[in-house]
Amino acid sequence: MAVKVYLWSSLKKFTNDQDILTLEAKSIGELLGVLERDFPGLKPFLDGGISFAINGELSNPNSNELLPDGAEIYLMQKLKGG
Amino acid sequence: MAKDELAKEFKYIGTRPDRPDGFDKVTGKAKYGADVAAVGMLHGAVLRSPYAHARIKSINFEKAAKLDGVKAIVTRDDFPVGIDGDTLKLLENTIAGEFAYYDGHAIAAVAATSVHIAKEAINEIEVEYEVLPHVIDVDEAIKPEAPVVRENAGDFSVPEGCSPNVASYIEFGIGDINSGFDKADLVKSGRFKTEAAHQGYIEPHACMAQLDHDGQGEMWVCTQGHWYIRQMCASVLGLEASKLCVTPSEIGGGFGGKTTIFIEPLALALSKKSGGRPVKIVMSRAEVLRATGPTASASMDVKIGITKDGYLTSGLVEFRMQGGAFGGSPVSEALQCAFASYNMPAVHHIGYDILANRPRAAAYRAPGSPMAAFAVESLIDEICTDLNLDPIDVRLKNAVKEGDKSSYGPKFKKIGLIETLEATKDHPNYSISLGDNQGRGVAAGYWMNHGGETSVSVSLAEDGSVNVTVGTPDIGGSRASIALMTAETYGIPYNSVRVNIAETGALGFNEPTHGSRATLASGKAVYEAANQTISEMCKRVAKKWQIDPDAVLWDNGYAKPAGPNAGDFSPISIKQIASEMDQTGGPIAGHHEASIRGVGHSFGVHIADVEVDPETGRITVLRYLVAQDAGRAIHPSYVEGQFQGGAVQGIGWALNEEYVYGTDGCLQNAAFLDYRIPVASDLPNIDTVIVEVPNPDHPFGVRGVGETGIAPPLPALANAVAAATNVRLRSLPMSPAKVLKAIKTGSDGC
Amino acid sequence: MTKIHVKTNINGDKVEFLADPRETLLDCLRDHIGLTGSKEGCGTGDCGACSCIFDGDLVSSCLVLGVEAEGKSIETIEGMAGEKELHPLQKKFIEMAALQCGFCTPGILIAAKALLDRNNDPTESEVRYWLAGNLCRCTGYDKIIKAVMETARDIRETA
Ligand code: FES
Ligand code: FES
Repeated sequence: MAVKVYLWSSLKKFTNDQDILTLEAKSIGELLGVLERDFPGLKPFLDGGISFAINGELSNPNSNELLPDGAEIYLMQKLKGG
Repeated sequence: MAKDELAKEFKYIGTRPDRPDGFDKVTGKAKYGADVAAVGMLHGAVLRSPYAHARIKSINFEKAAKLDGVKAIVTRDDFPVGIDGDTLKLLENTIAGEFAYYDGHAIAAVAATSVHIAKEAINEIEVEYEVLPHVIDVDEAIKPEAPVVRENAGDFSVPEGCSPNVASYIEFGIGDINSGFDKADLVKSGRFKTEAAHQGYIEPHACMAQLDHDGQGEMWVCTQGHWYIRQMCASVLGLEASKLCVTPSEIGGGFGGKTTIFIEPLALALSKKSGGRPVKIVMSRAEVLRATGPTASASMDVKIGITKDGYLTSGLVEFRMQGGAFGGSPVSEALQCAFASYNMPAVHHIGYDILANRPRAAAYRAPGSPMAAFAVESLIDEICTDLNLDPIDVRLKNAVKEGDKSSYGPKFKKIGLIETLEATKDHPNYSISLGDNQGRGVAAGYWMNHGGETSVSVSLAEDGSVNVTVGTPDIGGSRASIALMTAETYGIPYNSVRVNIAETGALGFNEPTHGSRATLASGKAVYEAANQTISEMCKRVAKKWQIDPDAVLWDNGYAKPAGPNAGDFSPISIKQIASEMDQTGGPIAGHHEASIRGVGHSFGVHIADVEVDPETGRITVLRYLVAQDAGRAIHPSYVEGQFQGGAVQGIGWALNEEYVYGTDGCLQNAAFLDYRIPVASDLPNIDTVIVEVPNPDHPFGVRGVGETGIAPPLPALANAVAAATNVRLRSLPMSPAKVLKAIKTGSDGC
Repeated sequence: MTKIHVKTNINGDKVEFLADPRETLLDCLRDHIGLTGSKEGCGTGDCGACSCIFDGDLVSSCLVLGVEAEGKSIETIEGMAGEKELHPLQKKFIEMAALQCGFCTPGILIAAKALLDRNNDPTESEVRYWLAGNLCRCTGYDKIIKAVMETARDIRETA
């Protein structure tokens, strides 16, 4: 299943200058695995904590969360709240 | 949820009953952080650095330890070594190691039999410091030759050639901003600055902690999130989190500032060192201002392109934010909020998180959004003035709506910015005529809201009332809103619901009451848990009636046959079901645990009217209007309260509040007299309009209302002052002296 | 430091305690008598959370020494409600949601009562200036001011 992953542009230097990736992943966990495998430079960012928006919905990372086919996923820096 | 469901009339939601904890809070009975004592309790005090930056060469506490009544002294040596990453930063901020990084940084702590002895002992501790160069201002700190706050502080994101004080860097955007600027009829840019402001909760941090040698401990603490406190204390002390039980006190305000640790690990360490005696630490106001909070200070460049009929074509922001000695300014949130209100073909965002010799920034209500709003909404106002366009119309033309991609990427679901703008346009405040030296300012603001990790439980009491247990401390009436949603779910009176805030042992993990999430997330979870008990009640009634459970439905506090085919039974009330529980299978309870999704983005629009005294530069707020989309207001009075409280914090930030540092890098206004938050006589009434565009992903349409309200006041007031004086202030606060100078010279020099 | 024996009257009760001469009245109320309803928000007279009535005068109890209470009569938030009913201000504050976190509330109630005891027909400006020494960070004061004004009206109507 293919999903589209949008990265913030300062991550491009770790992804061969692409800020939109089309990847095969069925879940968030799989997606993180694929990102780490294909683009090891992203690992510190992923480990540092990130938030996701999956088809427009902001959420905490849940590795078991299944991704709908064609999902649009935005990686965002971990959000704080007051 | 179907649309008609969202439009449906509610019985309890939207009413304004007395809050359940009201009695305790008007009679002085409610117990806050400093209101407890225990047998054998010791009092703690903290020694703090008098320097902005220094190497700690030695600490000698021999004399202090000899004082009668001193039971324990801790320094960094009493904390584990080998910690790294974020935990190390947390530990460093809790108690200094080799370096003191800011005025007020904790150096050592004492526990003694009285507060007086503890304070005396603090004065007897001898510390040898080597004073190091410091840097305070964000624009100074980003210079390559600036004094280095912490060596190797920059993370993997920092581009080469940056100042060593850059902790992290972020960049993102959509579209081609250059072609956007080419298409514009007017391109305008400006630099804006905001000073650090403190959350300013009236209750200073306080805790009582007890820790045995085997690592079992208990804590009573005023906090927005006791699971966070438990996790953080355990990590900096090398304890097992599960062995700590943390009970939240009532909390005297937090606004984000009580989501992290300061004195709590010190109290635990002192308790352990004194043989497990309980230790209470209460901060002074000066300690609160010097060592906790505040938010970041910011220096921001904005460039915006617009067509002459008012369509935004392109936007660029570069934000530099100083978040203290350990990084962690809300710069990425600020960037996400910058253009979030507008549908623009191209935007680009650049952000630097910068270190300075200041206390570690803590979250403050919509972290980052107020600064971003100040920069962007001020510049949009300048543009409106230049092009002679109505500021609400321009915002309406560009406002984001359902289906639009946000400026930071994800698509918006149902949102209510347009409705909110229309509400302000129609409000009488927008058309009242103004006199000499008076001006009106308009500004919008945004917060994304947050769901987060949530655990709740619900149980049916024998008398048919319902006990709800949540883990989100009640800062501003959330017991009432949760009770209302519970009452609505069951169809039972509001007074039949009790809401308890549980300690860490009683529920699964809960994030703090932050991110505007208490009513949204705990409410959603309680709805789920309540429905579990409802289906259990229906099951039991079905057994009694000997029909299929699906043939029983729940209606307004009663189990009823689903239709004529189900059989002819008279409805059974929750009271009766509860009274028979012991004979029908035992207690009935439900619980729900989840990372709550489906937060609804929140937009607000404010209108401020001011008068500026041309002789003194003093600004008087004449009128103030907050309109904000609440999704659905569960308890409208507390929603209005959030709007009003947020607005007034923003007004304070815009007009008076700032961290003032001396050339020695020490904070000069660590008291409420000098760090002046708004008082009653500074303000008019704060008018409110609750816009309700229900959040389709919440059972009752809630969006979360706490945070957005602090963002628009900063630009709304600057815009009003510009309208009143024809002078644009681009730096905050707009203190009388600064305003006067700007009137005389035509600019505030920013 | 040698403690001093203080005899005083608090909310109508005779009370005795031993005060360290450095202790404020607020410390003594909270730590020796167990009346923790008065709060310390600053300890420097700037926030009003510790407001009490001291021989008929509204004071910041953090600026009064405990030993000064000798022979005086003191009213705190714990004495504000009647035996059967809350004080009208207390009721109105709950009814109108004039509190959020509630930390400033005891001080504001005491200060507002001191105002209404003197003047049951204050203007809004008078209420705002009277309460200018009581900081509230949560509410923006709007509902507090309205609750005080409405209570004053109720008091006038029933008088
Ligand atoms: S504690 Fe007394 S005025 Fe603030
Ligand atoms: S209600 Fe929180 S300080 Fe007033």
